[in-house]
This record gives sequence, structure tokens and C-alpha cells, in this order.
Amino acid sequence: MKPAPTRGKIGYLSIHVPEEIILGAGRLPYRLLGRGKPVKRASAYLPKTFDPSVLDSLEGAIEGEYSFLEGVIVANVSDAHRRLYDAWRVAWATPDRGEPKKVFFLDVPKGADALRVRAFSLALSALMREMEVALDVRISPEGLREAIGLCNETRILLQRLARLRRQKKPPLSGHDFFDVVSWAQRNDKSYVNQRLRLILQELETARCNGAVGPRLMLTGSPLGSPGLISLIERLGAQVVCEDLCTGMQYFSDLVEEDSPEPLNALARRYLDIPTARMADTRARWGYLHKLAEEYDVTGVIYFTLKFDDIYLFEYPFIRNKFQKAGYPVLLIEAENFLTNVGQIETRVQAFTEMLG
Amino acid sequence: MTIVEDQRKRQREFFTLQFQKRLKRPRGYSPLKSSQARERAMFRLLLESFREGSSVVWKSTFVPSEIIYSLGAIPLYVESFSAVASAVDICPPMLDASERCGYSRDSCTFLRAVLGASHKDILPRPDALVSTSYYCDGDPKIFDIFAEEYKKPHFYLHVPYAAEAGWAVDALAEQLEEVAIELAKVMGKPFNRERLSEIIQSSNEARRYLLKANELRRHVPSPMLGCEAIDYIASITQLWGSPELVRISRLLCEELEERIEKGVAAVEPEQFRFLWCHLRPYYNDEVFNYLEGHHKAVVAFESVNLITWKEMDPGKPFKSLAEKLLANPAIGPYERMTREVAKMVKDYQIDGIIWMSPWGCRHFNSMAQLVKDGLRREMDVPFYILDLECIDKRNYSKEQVRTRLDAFIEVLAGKRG
Repeated sequence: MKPAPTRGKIGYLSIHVPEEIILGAGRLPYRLLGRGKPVKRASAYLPKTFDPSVLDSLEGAIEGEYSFLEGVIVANVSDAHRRLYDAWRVAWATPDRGEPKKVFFLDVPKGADALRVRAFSLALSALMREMEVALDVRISPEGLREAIGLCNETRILLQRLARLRRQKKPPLSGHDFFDVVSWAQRNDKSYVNQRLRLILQELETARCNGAVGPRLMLTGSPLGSPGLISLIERLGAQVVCEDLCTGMQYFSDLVEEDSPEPLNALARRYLDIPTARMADTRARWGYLHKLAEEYDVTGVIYFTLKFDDIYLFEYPFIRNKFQKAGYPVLLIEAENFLTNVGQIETRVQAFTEMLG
Repeated sequence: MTIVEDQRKRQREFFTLQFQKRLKRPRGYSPLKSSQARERAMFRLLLESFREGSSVVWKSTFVPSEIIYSLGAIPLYVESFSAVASAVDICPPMLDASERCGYSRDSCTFLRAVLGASHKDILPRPDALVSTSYYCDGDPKIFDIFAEEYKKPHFYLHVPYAAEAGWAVDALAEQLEEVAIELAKVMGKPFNRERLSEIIQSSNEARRYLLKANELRRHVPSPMLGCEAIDYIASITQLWGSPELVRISRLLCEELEERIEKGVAAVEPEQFRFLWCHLRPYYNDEVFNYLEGHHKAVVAFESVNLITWKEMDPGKPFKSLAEKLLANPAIGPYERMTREVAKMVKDYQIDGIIWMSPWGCRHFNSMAQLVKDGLRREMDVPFYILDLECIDKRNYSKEQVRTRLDAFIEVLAGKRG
């Protein structure tokens, strides 16, 4: 086994994939956020009635847009992702696409209690062994601890940045915040932390002027780009918090740093992320409600991608809960690129006007 | 809303009437006695679950019924309620109700029908709910929502994707034992391991008969219509562990043996032999009647009747049940399913595969193209992905389906030359 070098990027799609394991293998974690374009060739592998963000990722793989990656980790976070693992392997194994890259798989339970944490620890351990063999490295407990420290620092800094949006006049827009979080998921963590400290220094002392429209929470399916947030903010509202796996869920909790078993600590933290895919609906609602109160929102926009069953099944339950708690909710169902902009604009405009 | 026993009684009477109508429906074939016994057993199970004092556990597809029977409770596989409701034509209002609640028409109709039925409060009420990660995304989510609504506990089983990994069996067995103990607490009785061992023996006995029936169905010409065989859904029936399933499967073997001995064919003259993958439309028999009656193309076997698990060890019930769950070829990479489909094609001398693909199904649909391409690398067998809805008759178009089937039959005929 060679010592872990700092080189190469490993792509991942879900925030239930511990970045620390990729860093422990001496690679840079690179979050795949999608291309936001219509798909053509992916439909030859998977049905059209499928999570569009998954089809989008597969299209990127087929088109060679991820050829800079050494490999990719697909997690079992949905029926669609599970099958993406198969299709991605087939797509990358096609001889005309150059040297085959490694597609790793991580099984993720939908519960966070002791037995499910143990099962996830075993799955993480299996992933680590597979990565060690494929990349010819050793992922040591020390390497994992170091990576946990680095990623926790990123989380703490992003949490501070997010808290600035609790102010009556937030010093940064939802669009800018989304861009920062996306960028943090695709770049070297030491550099990210250094830059985040500078951004915070500037924003924590900034004075904000100007009127602020209705304060909104955005929740639902993954967004690959801030297009929808820009559209909402152009219409006079402000997205002050977002329960998205490409937003605040990314840094929702810290990993325990002093645990004698770093892998177990990772398993606990990554199952505690309150994504909609987890089965515990009560915990999920508790998290959403707390978020709405802490960020003092006046309304909620629930976004679902077409055919994204997790959200399509969750929506009526969460909508009812929000409405009972006094928060108006607007549902937007769309593709992963905004095709029906005019229709969405009209609905968001009417919603923000209603919120006053 | 409090449901009083008087209303429960009326619900039982309503469903009894519907089932009687269903049993007397005109059919294009003369059903086997075992098939009629199976239908009656399913209806009895549902009616029992409406009875005051019955303990009912709602389960998703692969939750082992054996554990629930061992606790003296009734396993209610809620998706089968949707199938029954579709068969007795009460599904459209259930689906309408779910749509009015905000559930998307793009999602699974089995689950939406249950959501609508729950909203209309026509379901037997659960004492507890158990779901697994297979199938599919919707199950654990809506089971947890139901648990909130009915104020009952929901237990979730994570079935490892790495079904063949060394640790998978133990990780799942631990969870199964935990669920059994927790369910026993809900029922207010201690968990009885010996009783579970007895149930496992019963399950093994039924498995032996159903395996034999599957063997008998390899006979050419086929002794049984796919139209009635597919309803056994041997891989997922909630009757596993019940004495009824032993009786039904034994009778099925006897009847198939008798038919083979007497030279009775399900379809005469048998023109083609199909493998049917996935479930079926429950609102009518037209597709099967058209294939088997009009085209004389028998559905010789169905993927849902595949039994892939080995005999269970009653002394190690949880480990055995874990192995049973993990033997499911739909778990893990698509190559596992491709392997099984290839085997079925050989075992049943299949001429063509029909892979039914309902609009709202993400789990099974998503494998279709991958399995088709995988098979193509191994064998030359025509494979047709048929868009067809299981539950919602509003999305069924008789002529469109017939045209597609005609075209597929033409391909098979052309291949034969």
C-alpha cells in the first residue's frame, strides 16, 4: 500500500456519502450537481419516467463530462440512484469511452437507530476496502480523523454563514448562498475554509440596507443550480433558508471528533442528516419546523422534480403540517432545468403577493 | 374519526358481497380448485382483519409474514388490498381521493390506492406497521406517514443491497429479531420462538409444493394458464407461514399432475410460450385472455412465482428469514435479475418475454432496459417492454395494448419462420 497522495477527484452524488472517506483516500471529493440540460442518450439505459437529476448525471457520464474523475460513488438513496449505479457501470464500460473508471456503491439505510447505524458502518467499511483496492491506497483511522476535523470546520463556517440570514436584512441573497455551498462541495476543503473565513469576516461586519420582501424557505428535491432561487428573488422575495441536500443539509450536523471509532462516528452523522429519504417523518417535520421558526419565514416553497417519488409522497404530509402551523405552501413541480419559467414566475409572483 | 364496530360490520358485509361477485365473475377458463381456494383464503384473511379483536400488522412487500403469523396477528400486505380493490372495481374512487389529497398521478398506483383508501377509512386498521427498503422508496415513507395518522408504531427493516456480502445475513437477521420482539410487545405477549419455528416448518412445506408446481409447469404444453398462475405471486404472497398455503400448494401440485397425466393443455394448440415479468392488470383479464385465448400464446411462467430461497432452518428462524429475503434477485445489481430471467427462459422453453412496465413504478421498470441488454449478450430471445397499468383502469386502452401484442407475436412468428 502506498501512502495516500493528494491527487485526483472522486465524484459523488448524495450527501449521505461521507466526504471524509474520499479525503482519507487522498482524493478530493467532488459533488456532482448536474448539468441542467435535457437528456438524450441516458434514456437508452433508464426509463424516461425517472428522477431527472439521475438521468442528467448519467447523460454527463455518457457524454464524457466527468472524464476528469478517477471514479464516482453512487449511494443507495433512492430506487433511481440504485439503478443509476448499474447504468453508470454499463455506460463507462463501453470500449469507445476510454479506460474504464471505477463506480463505487454505498448502501444507506433509511433509519438512524443503533442497528441501522451498525449496518451503515459495515457498508462504509466495505466501501473503504473497495476504494483501497481500486485506488491502491490505505485509508487509515488517523487519515479519517484528520478529514473529519477538516470537514467539520467547513460545516461550522457554513453554519455561521447560514445564521447571517436570520437577520432582518440578510447580508447575502439565497442565490449567493447557494453558490457558496455548491462551491464548497467541489473544492479543496483547506482552501474552502480559508476563503470562508474571509467571506465571514466581511459579511459579519457588513451593514445591509434596502427593503426585503417575504422571507421564504425552499425545500424539496435536489437543485443543481440556483436558477429557481434567482427567479424567486427577482420577484421580490428572499430565500432565507433551504432544506435541500444541495443547501443547508450539507452542513446540518458535525461528526464526533473524539470517537475511538471514526467510522461509527461517520455512520451516525451521515444517517442523522434529515433528508426526505429517511423514514422518520416525525424527525423530518421537527427539523423543518425548527428551521422555519429559526429563520422566521413567512412561507414555504416545496419543489419537486418530476418522478422524484420520495418528495412526491412526502409533499401532502409536509404541506398539511406547515399549513396547520400557519405557513402557506406553494408546490412547484418541474424538470431539473427550468422549462416552464413563465408558469413558475406567475405562480411565485401570486404567492409572494399573497404573503404581502 | 372513531370507527365503531357497527361500521366495521358494514365494511365486512360490503367486502363479502364484492368478493362473492368477484368469485362468480365470468371467466374465459375453468379455474383450478386450488386457484379458487387461494382466492377464498385471501378474501378470508382480509375479512378477518376487519373483525373486532383481530390484531393486524400492515406489511410492505417483503416483510416476512411468518413473523406476524407467529404472533397470532394478521399480516395485511396493503398493496394487495389495492389489487383486490381494483379487481372488485372500487379503486377509482380510492385513487381520486389520493389525488385530491395532493399525491401525484405520476407515482405508484398501488401506494396511491392505499393512501386514498386510508383517507376514506375503508382499510382494516393497523396495530403496527412494518416496512422494508425493498421494494421501494415509497413504502417506508408512506408507512411512516400512516404510523403518524393511526398513532401506531412503524418498524423499518433495512435489507442490505450487498445481498451476497458476508455481513448482510447477520445484519438483517438482527433487525428481524428486533422487529419480532417489538411486535410482540405491541401485541402484549412474549415472543414465542418455538411458535416461529413451527411456522417456518409450515412455510418450508408450502415452499416444497410450490417448487414442485413450478417444476410441473415446465411441461410442454403448459398445464396451467398464466392468467390464473400469476395470482399465486409465490414470491411475495402474505400467506407464507399459514396452513392454508400448504393446503393450496399441495392441491395445486395434485391438479397439475392430473392435468399432465391426462394430457390436458392450458392452451390448445400451444403456439408460443411467454415469460411474464412483473405483476398484472388487476382490473380485468383481457390482456391474458387475448394472449392465451386469441393467440394461443401461453404465459408459461411469471417472474413473481419464482422461488429463489433455500429451505429454512427452523432452529435458526431469523437467519433463515434473512437469507430468504436476500435471495430476492431484485436486490442488488441488475445482473442478478438478468441471471434469473435467463434461467427461467431456459427452464420454461420460453419464446418471448413480456416485461410489464407500469408508469408509476420506479423499481421494476428501471431494470427493464438493463436486463434486456444483458440478456441480449447471452441469448436470442425477443423481449418486449409493455407499458401497462396494474391498478388504475382509467389508464388502460384495450385496442392499444392489443395492437402492441399483435406486433410482438408477429415478431415471434417471423423468427420462427
